[in-house]
Amino acid sequence: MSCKARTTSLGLALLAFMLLAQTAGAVRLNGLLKLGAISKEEEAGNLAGVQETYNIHDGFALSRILLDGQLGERSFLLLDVQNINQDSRQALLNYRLAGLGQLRFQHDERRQLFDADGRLTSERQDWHLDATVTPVDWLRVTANTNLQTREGERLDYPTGYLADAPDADPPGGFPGDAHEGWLGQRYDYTLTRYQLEAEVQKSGRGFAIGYEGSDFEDELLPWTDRRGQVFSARLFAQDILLPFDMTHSLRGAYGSHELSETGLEHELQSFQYIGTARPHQRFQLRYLLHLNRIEDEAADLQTDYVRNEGRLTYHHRYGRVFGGYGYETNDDDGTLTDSHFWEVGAALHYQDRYRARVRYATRDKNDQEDLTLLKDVEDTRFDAKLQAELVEGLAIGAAYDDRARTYPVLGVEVEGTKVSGFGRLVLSNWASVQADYGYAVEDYDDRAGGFETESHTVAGRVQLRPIPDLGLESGLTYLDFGKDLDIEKSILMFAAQYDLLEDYFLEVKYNIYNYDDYILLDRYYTANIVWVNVGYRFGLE
Amino acid sequence: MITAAVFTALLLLGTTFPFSHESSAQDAAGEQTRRESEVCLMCHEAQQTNLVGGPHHLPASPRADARVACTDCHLGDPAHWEEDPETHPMTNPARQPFADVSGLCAQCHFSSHQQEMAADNPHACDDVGCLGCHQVHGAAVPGSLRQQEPGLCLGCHAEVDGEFAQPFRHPVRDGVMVCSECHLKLDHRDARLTFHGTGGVCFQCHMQFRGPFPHEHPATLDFSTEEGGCLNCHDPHGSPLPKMLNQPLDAPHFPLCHQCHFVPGHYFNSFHGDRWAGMACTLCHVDIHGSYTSPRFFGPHLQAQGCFVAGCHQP
Repeated sequence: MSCKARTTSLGLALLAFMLLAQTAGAVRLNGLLKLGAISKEEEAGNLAGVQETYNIHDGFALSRILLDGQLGERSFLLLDVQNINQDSRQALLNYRLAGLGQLRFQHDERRQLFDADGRLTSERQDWHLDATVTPVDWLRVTANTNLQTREGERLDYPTGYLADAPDADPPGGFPGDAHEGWLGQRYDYTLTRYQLEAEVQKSGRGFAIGYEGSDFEDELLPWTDRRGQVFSARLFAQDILLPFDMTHSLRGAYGSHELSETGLEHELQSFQYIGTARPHQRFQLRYLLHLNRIEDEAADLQTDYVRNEGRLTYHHRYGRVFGGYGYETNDDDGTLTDSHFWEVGAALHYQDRYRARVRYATRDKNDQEDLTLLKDVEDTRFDAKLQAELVEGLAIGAAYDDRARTYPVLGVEVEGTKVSGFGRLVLSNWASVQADYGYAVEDYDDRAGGFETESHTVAGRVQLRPIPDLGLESGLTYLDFGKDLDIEKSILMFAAQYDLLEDYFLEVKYNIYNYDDYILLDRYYTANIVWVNVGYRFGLE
Repeated sequence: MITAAVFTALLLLGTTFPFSHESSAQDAAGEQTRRESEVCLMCHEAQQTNLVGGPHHLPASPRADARVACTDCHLGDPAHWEEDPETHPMTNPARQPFADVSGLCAQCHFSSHQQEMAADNPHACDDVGCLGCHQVHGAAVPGSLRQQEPGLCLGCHAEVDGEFAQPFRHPVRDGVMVCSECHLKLDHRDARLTFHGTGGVCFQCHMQFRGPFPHEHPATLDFSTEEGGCLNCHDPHGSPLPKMLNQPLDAPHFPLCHQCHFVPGHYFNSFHGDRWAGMACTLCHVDIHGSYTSPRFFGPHLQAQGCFVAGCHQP
């Protein structure tokens, strides 16, 4: 049985178990079933330009299956399956037994397009299973596993030809096989991860031990297969050592990653301490220490990372003022860098309706041996944000963000500024309007020249319910990149939902997608997509 | 490093675990509080009803497994029920300062979430305490929340609401995720074997980028003390750009990468000829989140065959 079939069976078995396990108590479930048809018309020079439409196909569509509610006095169930078609689907199953634990199962499957005419595709799947059990209030056991598969084709690079094209003979004499580019033409790999942790805590003190394993298998490149495992322990405590509010948390971990074919084995060590202290009700001090080492004796490779960070916050009834300083070093087999970073800021709030924040941060990275690609880097960032709920249902806000990066050795300067604003209006249950606008300008200069980009982003949405049985909705997303870029993209959406009978509704949605790159003339895309669905709401008691 | 870690661990371990002696004392206290609950309900009968179905449900009759009693949360003098309730009022957590309520809840709820609230959670810093999101009496939503997520969060965080309407987004408005799946994990104490805090959240689901890698992309290093990591390239709530990028990864300038890599010769690169135009940086730098084998994050094919044969780069 394949991993996929195994995991699907497991999910279905879990659902069956949950339903059968209910012996007493009232079952109250709300359900929704939605099915219909899709019409899709495309006109494109490049089908890979707009990812939103990759997984939308003409024809019959089972759009949603939803079950949500209680199976008993203390047990809750959520099953949600969406966008079920020939190459994509999303599923979520969540079962919670209050006071005992929770089970969660998730699945996401979709495809990606990589070339202009849509011939190169990739199938991607993610599976996740998570369980938490709290048999007594001082013990918590968690276990989870992820399975991730990626299978498909990729564009041959640097030749830029499709793998099976008969004329795949690159002009220009690039090295390597003309039909086998540097990146290969296919990929097919699986990544599995599993984790188990038990935590014991009482009266603010406790510890946890954990194990985490991972397994990467590549069907086409077996020399990249690798396995890893990490054992960890965590310890936390409150109000010890000193006679005022303090918390301490430290974590140590040891593990290894092995590339099974090549014999390379990396040894991992990590230690982290975070302490907070509140010597006075209005002051809080936080300190973080992080030590990390990755070592491979065979290849004589060792990376040491050390981070120290302190942060002081002053709290007031109407806000807080904060500041922090950090220092880190990264020493690997080829380079040695260290960084200093500062941050100061303040936040204000009044009556939970008015909020403001301003912050300034800097970071200086020094390449002590001049061996990294970027050499020294100096960063600064300033941002400010204001938000107000003027009256109930009406909120507005604005933000300003400015950041600069300088590479003194390379002679490069980069500066970006972004201004944005939003407004929200909710009128009882019959109307809501929201609008967002952002303007950004980025300026890049080096010794030889430079370039500049400018962007406008607009997003808006209107929802109306003029009569109880009718819901109307319209939305717009518009992007415009200008100056040295010349790209426009927009999505326009209209939707209506009408309640036909007590339990049924009709839903119609029309989306228009547009994408144009005016520099690369064959990169354009237009699509008109219509969804028509009939929905059925039901209840189980 | 290991010596320092072990020493600190032993020091804290020694001071952390004197708690086994508390159980018998707490059992005795439990008997007392169960009795007190019965006394309370003689006058406050309605409070029994609105706790039914919730985690603070009081048992109909005293039971050995009762975990909560009225006087666990409402503190005061026994004279309240023995003499005059008006003269000796009990406390009401809904009207107490945040720090007091946080400490009260922490008596039973000492999860990492609660630890963070007691320490450095932004809500705590803004005086939004436990009862800003949770309610004890009349709680109908799992987790004793005042309302379901995401409405609970977006009621205050209105600026985020629009981000979840973007074409590329985490599916919060679609009902697949809730805010707390990420934001309750922003606690540094929950960071696994990763370099940085924000990444620890993302890697819960996007485990393939988790690392640690022998060759980390330096972009994962924090820019400031609170942000950085994945957020250097991605807008986690939503973005109009694929992969929730915060800048386009489009030719000819690739602004996303050029946020940091505005390196002479790496745009309109003559050595790569016309074929470079229109090709995203990540076509060669495939393992851009971190690599086990390549310091330049090349994919396995490129790493095996090398671009050095083209004469552009030195090994």
